[in-house]
Formats: sequence, C-alpha cells, structure tokens
Amino acid sequence: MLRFIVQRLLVTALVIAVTSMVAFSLVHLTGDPAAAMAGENAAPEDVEAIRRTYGFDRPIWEQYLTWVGRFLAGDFGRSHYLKLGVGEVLAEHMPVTATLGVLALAFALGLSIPLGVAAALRPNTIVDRVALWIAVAGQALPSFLFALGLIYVFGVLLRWLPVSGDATWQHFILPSVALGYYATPAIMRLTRSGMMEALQSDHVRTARAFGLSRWRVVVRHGLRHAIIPVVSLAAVQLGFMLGGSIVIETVFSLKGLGYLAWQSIQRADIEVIQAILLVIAATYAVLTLLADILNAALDPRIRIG
Amino acid sequence: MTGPLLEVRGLKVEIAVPGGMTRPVRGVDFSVAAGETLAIVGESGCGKSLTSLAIMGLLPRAARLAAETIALKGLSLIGLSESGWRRLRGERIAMIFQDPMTALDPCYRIGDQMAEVLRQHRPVSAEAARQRALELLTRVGISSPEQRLTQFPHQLSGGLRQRVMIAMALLCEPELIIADEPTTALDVTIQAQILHLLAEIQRDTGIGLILISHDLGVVAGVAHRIAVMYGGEIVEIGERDAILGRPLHPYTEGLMHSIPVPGETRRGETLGFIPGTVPRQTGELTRCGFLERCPYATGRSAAGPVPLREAADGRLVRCVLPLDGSGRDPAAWTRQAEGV
Repeated sequence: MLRFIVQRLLVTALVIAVTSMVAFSLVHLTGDPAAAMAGENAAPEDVEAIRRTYGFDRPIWEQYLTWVGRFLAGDFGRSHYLKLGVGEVLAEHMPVTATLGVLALAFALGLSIPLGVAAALRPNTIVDRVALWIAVAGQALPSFLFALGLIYVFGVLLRWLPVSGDATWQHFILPSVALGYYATPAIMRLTRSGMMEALQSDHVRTARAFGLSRWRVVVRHGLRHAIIPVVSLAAVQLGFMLGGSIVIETVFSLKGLGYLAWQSIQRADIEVIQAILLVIAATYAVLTLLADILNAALDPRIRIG
Repeated sequence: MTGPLLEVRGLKVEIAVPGGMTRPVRGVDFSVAAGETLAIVGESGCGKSLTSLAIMGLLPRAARLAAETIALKGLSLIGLSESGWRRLRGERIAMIFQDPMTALDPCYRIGDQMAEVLRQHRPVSAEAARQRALELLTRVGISSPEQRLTQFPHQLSGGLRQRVMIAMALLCEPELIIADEPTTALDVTIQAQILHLLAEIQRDTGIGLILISHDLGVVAGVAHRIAVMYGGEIVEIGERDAILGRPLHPYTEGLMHSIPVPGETRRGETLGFIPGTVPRQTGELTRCGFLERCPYATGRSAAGPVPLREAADGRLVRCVLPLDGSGRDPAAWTRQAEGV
C-alpha cells in the first residue's frame, strides 16, 4: 500500500509540474502582458517600465523558473490590481468555492447513488424510469436556468432560503443543489450499470446461496464493487465543480474562485490568473490521487498485486 | 431412516424466450437420503444446474418454476418466502459452485466472509466465529489456517479457494450440500483431492450430497447413486455399480465410451463420442428426446414420448430398447465416431 501511494504521489507531482508549465505559457503567449497591464492609452515608456519591473523582458523559461522558485518558497506574488498578496486573495475566495464544491458533491452523491441502486434493483420498471427521469432532467436543463428556477421557487415564492451571498450555511444550499444536480445523471447511470453488473456476479450468487440478508447482499457484496468506478468519476466531477462553477457563483453572487478568475481575466491580473490555474490543476491532480487511494482501500486486488 | 432427506417430484423449469418457451427442465423426479451421494450427470444444457438452482430457490428472474414436490425433510420449499429461504440457505442446504475464482467476494478477507455467513445464522461472537472458521479450514486440509483467514481470495490458488468454499458450506452443519461442478475449474490433480475431501466429509458427517458434473468419470468414484440427465429429463437413474457396470440407456453408454480408461484405451484409438448437441426443444416432447443422436434408434423411438421404466435391478431407464441389455452393440459408438 505504501509503495502504491508513493508511486501515485510521484505521478501527481509530475502532472502538476507539467500543467504549471502549460498554465504559465498560456498566460504569457496570449498577448503582451505588459501592454495588458498598462492599459489601452499608456505611453510606450510606461509599458517598457512595466515590462522591466515585472521581468517580462527576460526569456520565458527564466521567468517560469523564477515564478516556480517563488511559489515553492511560499511567495505567490502580488495582485497588481488589488494591491494585495495573491495568497491573501486566494485565502479569501477559496473557502467559498471549496464549501460549494463539497456540498454540491455531497448532494449529487446523496441523490444519485440511492437512485442508481434503486434502478438497478428494479430494472425496466417504473422505479427505474423515475430514477432516470430525475437524473436526466438535471442534464437537460441549463444550469443557470435551473438555478434561477430554484431562486424563484425557494427564494421568492416560498422565502425559505437566501439567494445571494455567502454569509451563512443556508446561503450555500441553493447553489449546492444547482451545481450538484448537474453531476447527478452521470453518477446515477454509472451506479446503476455497476450495480446491475455486480448483482449478476458469482460472488453475489454465493452470498445469496449462503442466506445472507438482502441488505448485506446489496450493500456489502454489490454496492462495494459498483462504487469503485463511481469514486473516480466523483473526483473528476468535484474538480469540475471547483473549477467550473463560474455560472453558479455569478447567479448566486458567491465570491468564489470562479468569480475571482473571471474578474482577474478582465483586469489582466496575471499573477492571480496563474495562481488560480495552478490551484485548480493541483486540485484535480490531488483529487485523482485521493480517488486512486480510496479505490485501493475498497479493492484489495489493486493494493495487493 | 424414515423418508428421504430431499424429495423432488415433477420439477419443471421454463424460460420465456423470444418466440416461445424453452423447457430446460421437463419433469424431474429424484430423492436424496441422508448419508447418500447422488451424482447428477449430463452434458452442458441438459438442465442439471438449473435443477440445483431450483432446489436453492436461486433461479434467474426470467425462469418459471413448476413442481409437485420439493421438500426437505417434509418441509415444502415451493413458494417459500424470502426470509424462509434465508433461514434455509447456508443453514440447512449449502451450495458449492463451479468457479472458485469468482465465487468468493474479492473485497473481503477469507475469515471475514466465513464469519459473515456464520453470524448471519448463529448468534456467536466474532471471536467464536473466527475459531469456528479456523477449525473448518483445518478440517478441509488447509495448512497455516491462521494466515489464510487474513488473506484475500485472489491470494489463494484455485484448489485452496474451493477448499475454503467447502469449509464455508460446512459452517452451519447443513443437512444437504449441493456441489455444482465443484472440480471442473480445477487442475486434474486437484480435482481428485477435492472429490476425496467431499466424499470423506460426506461419510463423516452423514449429510446428503448432490454432486453435479458433466463428467461421468469424475463422479464414478464417489457417488452412491447416479442420475443421468439428457434434454431436461432423467434418462437413467440407479445404483452406481449397476449403471457403471452395465449402462442401459444409450446416452449413458455413449458417455462411458467417451471416457478414456487408463491401461485399456490404446494410443491412437478413436474414443467414442456422441455426435451433435442437445437440441433445444420448446414444446412438449412427442418422441424420444435422444433420437437424433442415438445409434440404436428404431421406429418405436419416434412413436411417442418415452416413459421411465423399471429394469430388473430396480433402476429406471427412459428407452424403448429391451431393458435386459440385449440387442446392443457398443462398437456402434466407435463406428459412429469414425463416421463409418
């Protein structure tokens, strides 16, 4: 198990290193950063001064190494627009996005796994159809429309929940539902097909032939196997929720990472954009690592070769 | 002994398929006494596995069961509730499956799987369950059982896993064990060990054992009685020595001719075999089901369905030929095999 984790850690580090290069080059190759920072009507001398101050005149690999060196030393740079350290800016926005992502994933799993299991236990019946319908509705509706619908029903008509901002935990309920519902169909369908396969397997027949209770047969000997691919999918979905929640964050006025990224791109706030890209890439890589470790814990054949 | 341990009468299994109804089991009668090993033999598709699953109440959802009697010591198993089945399976009837590579759950340790079964049926502590598992692993001839308890199925060889399955089957001291092709997936040398183990346990505990196999040679050494199935019917059933000594149904004879005998079968000699495969019949039989593949078939074979008849030694045979064995020429099998 230890060897397995060390191997995976190395792969994760490699992935982060490569994505950091890509992120860095993308920002520097899509235009002149000094001109973008100086603004439209800046004098050429000012642009030149900015270029020298921020080191944009040096070779790109040198800039990259300097940036990486600073990052590793814990200096994430400064936002030239906000006049704040990038670390502080991230620390302000990351908790909002993390809370939203985790709650959204919890909602998605809590809805789609029971639905998937129920559908697999009664395939091609009304239960199966209803489960499929609930899940597919999540994919058919554009997420901003679904979010607006939630706001109208629960915020405006019923007045049960706040619809804007991130002051209390209640503020996170509607955005989490809106964001999580979108991930439901894929997880539900994967759970359903995995469960169908698991219930057909020989060891489930053995469990039944030895008189184990229905709960044990379905959960311990069925779901345990069906859940393994779902773990990997959920990790990717969570990464997507953390990085791609700009729409939902905007609709609900949550000052999260997506919102920050969008604003920073408009402000040509390069240091912040680079840091966000790196954070999101690292999050994906770490989530995949966690999924692999969780799968190894679930399936002994992965960890004991 | 009053009455059989297991009694099966008129067991039928039907499965709906596009365009009709297949009848993989069409009216099977047999019984098993305590302390007896009944072998059910036949080639793939003859209905032997479905028969065993029907006894366990584990038929696939698409299959429909009909039977006059399926009874364990007088307790009818027809229409038993799900909780009734749970109390029976693993507790009074245990089943051993063909492929020990997939029959155990790869996610749990051997000891945990055994303890789970025992604690489902008996209110024992985890420690007591461990002791019982240890005792049974030792009983089925597994060395260093403490270590095996903590291992996962994929860390064990096929033979060891099948021993674990046998140990699991013995946990609750069942009255009947059904072993469905228990040695088919194993190496030949391991096959003999597992069969001897089953026979020895059967002798020591006095349970009833149903041994299902496609290989007459495999069961010959351990069975007390043999039932030969063909096309969903029993075509011959009786004492082992009688049947192996002189098979009366042409299909049984064909099966025996396809077993090489050490010291008798010569190199280069053509082994007998039964040409063709089991035909899939959807309706009721209107003639002998073995007709197309039988070297002895006569006009009377096609005249109508063939009933089971009792031979002089008490065995039952489903054939129109005289049951004293006259009028047969076993060389017909070799000729048929060589295409003469």
